[in-house]
Amino acid sequence: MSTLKIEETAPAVTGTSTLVRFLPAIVLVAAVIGAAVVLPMVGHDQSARTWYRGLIGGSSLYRLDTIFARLLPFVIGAAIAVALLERGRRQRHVAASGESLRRHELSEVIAHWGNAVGVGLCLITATWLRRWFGRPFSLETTYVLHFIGAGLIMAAVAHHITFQRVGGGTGLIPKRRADFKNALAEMVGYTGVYRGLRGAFGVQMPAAVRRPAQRILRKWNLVPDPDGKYLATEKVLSYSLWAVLIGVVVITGVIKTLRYAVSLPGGLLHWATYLHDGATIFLIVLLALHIGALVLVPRNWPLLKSMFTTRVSRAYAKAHLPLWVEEEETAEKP
Amino acid sequence: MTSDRENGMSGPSDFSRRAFLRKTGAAVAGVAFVGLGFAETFKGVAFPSIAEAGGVIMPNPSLCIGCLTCEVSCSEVHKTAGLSDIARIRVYRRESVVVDPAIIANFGMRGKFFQNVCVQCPDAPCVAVCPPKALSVDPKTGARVIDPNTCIACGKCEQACLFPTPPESKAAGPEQVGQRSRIIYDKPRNVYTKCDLCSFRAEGPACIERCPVNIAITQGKVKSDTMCLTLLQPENQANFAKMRDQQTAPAEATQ
Repeated sequence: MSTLKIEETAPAVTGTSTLVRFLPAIVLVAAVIGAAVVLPMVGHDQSARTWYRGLIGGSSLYRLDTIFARLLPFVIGAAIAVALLERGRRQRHVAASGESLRRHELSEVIAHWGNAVGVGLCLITATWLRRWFGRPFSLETTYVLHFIGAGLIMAAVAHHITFQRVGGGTGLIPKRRADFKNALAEMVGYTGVYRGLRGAFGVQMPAAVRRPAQRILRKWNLVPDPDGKYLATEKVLSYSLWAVLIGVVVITGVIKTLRYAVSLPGGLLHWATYLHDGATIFLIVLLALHIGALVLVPRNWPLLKSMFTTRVSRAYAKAHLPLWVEEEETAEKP
Repeated sequence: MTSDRENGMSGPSDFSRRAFLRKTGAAVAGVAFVGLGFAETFKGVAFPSIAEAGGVIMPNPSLCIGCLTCEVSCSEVHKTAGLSDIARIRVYRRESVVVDPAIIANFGMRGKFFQNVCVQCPDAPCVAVCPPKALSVDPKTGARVIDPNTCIACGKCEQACLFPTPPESKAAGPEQVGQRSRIIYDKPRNVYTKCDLCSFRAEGPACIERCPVNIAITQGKVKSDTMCLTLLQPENQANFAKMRDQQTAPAEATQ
């Protein structure tokens, strides 16, 4: 089957829309220039006579904080611009071949792994900063790594929000009560209780146990309904929780960074730090569950593969995401 | 059925207005962030000014007999106040110290020591760098103090401190706490601690009050840290280096 592309209808060209079309490119160029001048400007500031020892705030660590605080707006601006540029040239790919379906945009995959690397860096360095497992590198190196991770997360989050918001939203936000029931049912399914739906480690309960258990689950209405493009567990237990925790970490992290740009009350910083560190602990737990659900449950392996290839096989989609396949097949018909 | 919206797509009619507004909104946000970045980058130094300390412990090494009374007193009064019992003032051995003849005459040659304590820097880099603002200026004494309930033990203050300490093998006392600067990590409590000029004591710093040689000979608290301010200016780098390396206080600065 050949690739089927549906062109988006172009908007009427007006002066304003022309400006909007070119604005992302202008913002991106400005952000790159701005980021490039941060270091020379910090160097200029630290050479001021009022700063003893030639360092802003008297320490190299404060200099590092200042650099990060000044770079962050440019990173966010650049990520927004890139997302807008991608949306501007995007075409809809319904299906590329008969054997597989595109589940993610390439930019979504890049944003996901950018966020993953950022979260990984931040979590590892957070444990070093809090001395949970010692501190193998100098404090300065640890903070450089932490800030690189934080920058990646901020860029991924800004890109994701812009990309999804401009495109009309993502289907990953649970909007129906049935999503929560389905998520719970799918979690129960990890025990291998449902016929034909293997659970963690690929296990399937013996029929003697499975049948009475299924009767009880059916009575409680805990039987998973067919899924659309995304599994209910992806919507309720993965995306939503990640969004909340990353949201807390990002907002409190921005407050902590703003501390080096503007004067903020100590109480606000105390609570921002408390929430930042608290959310970090929950993030570690969520990351363990996220990796566990992908690695330990064989039926989820194609989803992990799709986070590299952007695609899932049609056979997998028919078995686990039937409503999405129905829609795609309807769209493929001439 | 999965809708176009769920696929992250909008219909043609929607594209012309709603999508246009979304794109415009996002572009404006991008402009705002980049503008904020330029404003922040070009606004100059953002280091906050802080109040000067009302005083600073400035002991004179030539008068120290290495009795460790200051260390013990410091530890004791802070422990009683429910704070970390790590001594904020530490006595180290240093061969380059010239012992005052009056000390040798009265106490004999007990060794060459110097006392290591926070100098309450005027532009305290430890205060500037603390992420949760656990370090603040005590309104009564002007001391730079660490709130143990807010401290996250990241160690930035310890590293930002301009005054490194000698290896602990040279400490006069038996206690080994891994001190590297004037700000010390209290591992059991997982907090950093430093000299707070005993802000909680009406009598003032316990080390000064209880030093056995303080009554007879000059050793004490500087009335103003103007000297400290002067020493820390860039044009006084030589003096600053002297202060940092030798930890000696000019006699006229003591009362």
